[in-house]
Parts: sequence; structure tokens; C-alpha cells
Amino acid sequence: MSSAASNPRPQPPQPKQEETRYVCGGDLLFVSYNTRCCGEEVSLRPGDKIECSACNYPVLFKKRTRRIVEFQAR
Amino acid sequence: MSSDNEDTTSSSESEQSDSGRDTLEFIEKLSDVPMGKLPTHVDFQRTRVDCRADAPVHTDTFQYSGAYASMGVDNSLLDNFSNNFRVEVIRLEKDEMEFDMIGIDPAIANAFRRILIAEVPTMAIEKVLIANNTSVIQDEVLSHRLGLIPIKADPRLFAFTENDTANETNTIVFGLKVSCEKQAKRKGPKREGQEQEGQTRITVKSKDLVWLPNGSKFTLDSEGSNSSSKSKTYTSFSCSQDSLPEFSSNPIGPTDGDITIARLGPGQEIELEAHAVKGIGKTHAKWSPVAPAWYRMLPEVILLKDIEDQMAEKLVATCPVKVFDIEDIGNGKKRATVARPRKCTLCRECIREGKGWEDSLSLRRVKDHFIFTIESTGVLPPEVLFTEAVKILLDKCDRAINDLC
Repeated sequence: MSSAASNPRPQPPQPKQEETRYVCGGDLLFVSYNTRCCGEEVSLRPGDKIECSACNYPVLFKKRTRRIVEFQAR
Repeated sequence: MSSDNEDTTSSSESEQSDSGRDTLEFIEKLSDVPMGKLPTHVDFQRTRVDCRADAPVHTDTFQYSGAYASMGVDNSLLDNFSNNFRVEVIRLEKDEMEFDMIGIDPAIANAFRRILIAEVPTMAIEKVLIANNTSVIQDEVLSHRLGLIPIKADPRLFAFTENDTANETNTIVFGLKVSCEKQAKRKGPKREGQEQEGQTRITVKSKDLVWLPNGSKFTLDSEGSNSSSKSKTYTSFSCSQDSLPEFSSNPIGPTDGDITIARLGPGQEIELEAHAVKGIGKTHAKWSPVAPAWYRMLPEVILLKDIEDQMAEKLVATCPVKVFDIEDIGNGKKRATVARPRKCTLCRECIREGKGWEDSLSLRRVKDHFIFTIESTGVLPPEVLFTEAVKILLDKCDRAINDLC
């Protein structure tokens, strides 16, 4: 259906970077969207508790980098 | 020389010619003698497809110009075509038209259909540069969806892309940047695409695609890019497209604003650029300007015998597209008539039940009369699409002639 273009997938962030940006996954795993709807952006340092600062939800997703990926629309 | 002599000779000549004419008239009256005209049954085979309950018969066309030479009939295609061909437009709407092509060979009618579907060029999104996509729809699927959106831009004003170089004559650039904020942050007026107040998800529609007449805004990352005054982007436009007279009055965009591209949950966003190029449906169906183009042969429904009373009512009830009507013929008697033969879909439901129906009813198709329907995706009006198809066929003919010379 589609084919990824020449650019490779985004590389993980460099280890020297102190903070890493995450997105709370609170809305993705619960069906009742009205109560569990987060999507808060969270910054974590090494050693921090892995938890959303807004809703204390323990599942976080790493944010995608802004590196441009080229696709063929087929 | 006496005058009497002359009189006798002339009278004898006229007697001879009279008897000759009688013989000729007698021969002409015989039913199976060709008189520069085809006998009825042969003409029927030539011009009609007879649809029987089991299968249609006489489905083929007679191509050879001398097929009926022995009967004194010229069957050459071109003379017939130039004298008898005509087009009647039945219905013409913004995105759809129906017209009759009469007196044309099925091969040529089919050529027009195939050219419309696969060879009339349009613009469609071909390259998608995704900067960010955190939605649940995958990058590949998202770009495929974008590719299928019809773009309202006259393809005749653009050139085909060569050597993968994008400039203002061959590429249209669209930007898409949508994000769905967290619910707590979302206050104030209802966002466009948000179906209800306080709803947590938004729908990205094709109207969110923004035309970028100056070309791509994404820069190519290369080693010297930050030092140079102007960094290179994915396209090399020499001027803005909206400064060109063709587009300044008529901005480019999707044909339809409410095509769903994706749905976003809170915290999700899409940021991308889509590059549309010129192409043909043969390469990929997204470039096809019709959805779709088709034709059917003109149906002809003939009642061979009168169908009356109960049988007539049964016939009217059997036909799913209501081809037949009932007329009153006095004395409380009813008779079936063919009211809307054009609607016949050739389902053969009316002649399916037994031999009796097949003997009193004849379903036919006229071989050289095509009911052509073009449904445009909105890229160009359907009548323009057809003239473009005709031009493409002309080009093909020219090419063939040049190759043979």
C-alpha cells in the first residue's frame, strides 16, 4: 500500500539529553473518554517516578521527533 | 427512310423493354433478392443484439467493409460513421452527465471509456512529508488517504514532473497542521471540526489542507544550511503560484471540504506537507478523473403479440424497473404497452417464465447506440473531460499514422 521513503525512521534522543518529553496515555487505554482524557505532556529526568503529572496515570508514550519522513501517497 | 418503318421499330423496342421491366419487377418482389438493402433478418443480426431467456444472440459486430458486398451493401465503417454519427446530451449537471452516442462502433465507444478512466491526466497528492503525526492513524495509511483526495486544479495548466524536480509548473504544495489540545486547556469558542461542545476528539477534514503557493516550507537539512542566507526547501519555486494569472482568481484546494482525513484525540497532532503532481489513472487510480465512466447499449423492448388483461398485469408487476404500462382498449379490456424502454436493465425477468413469454416479447439492444454516463470527481466538468478524451484519442491516431508513414 505504501512505501517508506529514503529517510530512516527517527533515531532515539541522545543519552546526554537530561529531560525527555512524554505524552500521557491516559485516554488511550480507557474507553470512557469523558473521565479519562489526558494527553498531558510530561517532562521526566532520570530517576523521576514514571507518572503523569496531571492525572497520575502510569503509562507514558515517548514523543515523536520532528524529523521529516517522506512517504509516497500510494 | 419511311416514317412507317421507324414507327414499327420503336414500338417493338418498347414492347421488349416493357416485358423486361415486368420481369425485373417480378424479381424485385421476391423476398430474398437483395436490392442494395439488406434483407430484414440479416439487418436485424447486424444492428441488434437479441436477448433470449438463456443467452443473448448476435452479439458480435461485422467489421469487414465487404461483409455484405454480394448483396450490394457497403459495410465500410468510415462512410457510415461520418454520415450517421451524432451525440445527444440527455442530462448535464455539475459533476455528472449522460449522453447518447449514436452510430459508433463499440470499439471506439470503449476506447473513450478506457481513456477517460486511465489516461486523462489530473493532479493528485504523490509525496507526503510528515513532520509529526501522533495520531492513531499510521503515516503510511495517512499518506494513502491524502493521495486519494481529488484536487481542484486544472491539470492542463501543469506539466508532468521530470527528473523529480519540483517547481511551480509541476507541483502543488499543501500544508496540514492540526492539533487537538488537552480538554482542560480547550476553552472559548467551539473549534472547527469539533462536533459538540466539550468533545474530546476532533476530525481532520480535507478543508484543513492549506494551499502553499510559495512551495514547501520544510527545509532540507544539509551541512551548510544554517550558514547560507536562504536554506533549501523540498521544492524550488521561482515565483509564487498565486501571482500567476490562472490561479490568482481561482485558488487551488480539494474539490470537497468535508472529506475525513483522520481523527485526533487529546494531545495528538498532525503536521505535514503534501505535494501534488500531474499523473494519469493508468499509474494509480488516484489520478483517475472519473468515478467512473460507463456506457450501456440502448435497450429496445418490442411486443410481438398483444398481451392483454391478466397477462398484462402480470407483466407490469414482474418488471422491477417499470418498463411496461397498461392501456385501456375499450370494452373493459386492457393491453400492455412499452412505456419506458430506456429503463430496461436487461434483467430478463419478464421472459424468464416459460416459452410463451419469449415468443410474445422481444428484448433487444441497439449495437451502435451507446448511453454514456460520465461521473466526474469534480476535478474538471464532465463535458470537458470527454473533449480531453477525444483529444487523447486523436493524438494516439496521429502517432499511429506517423509511425506507419
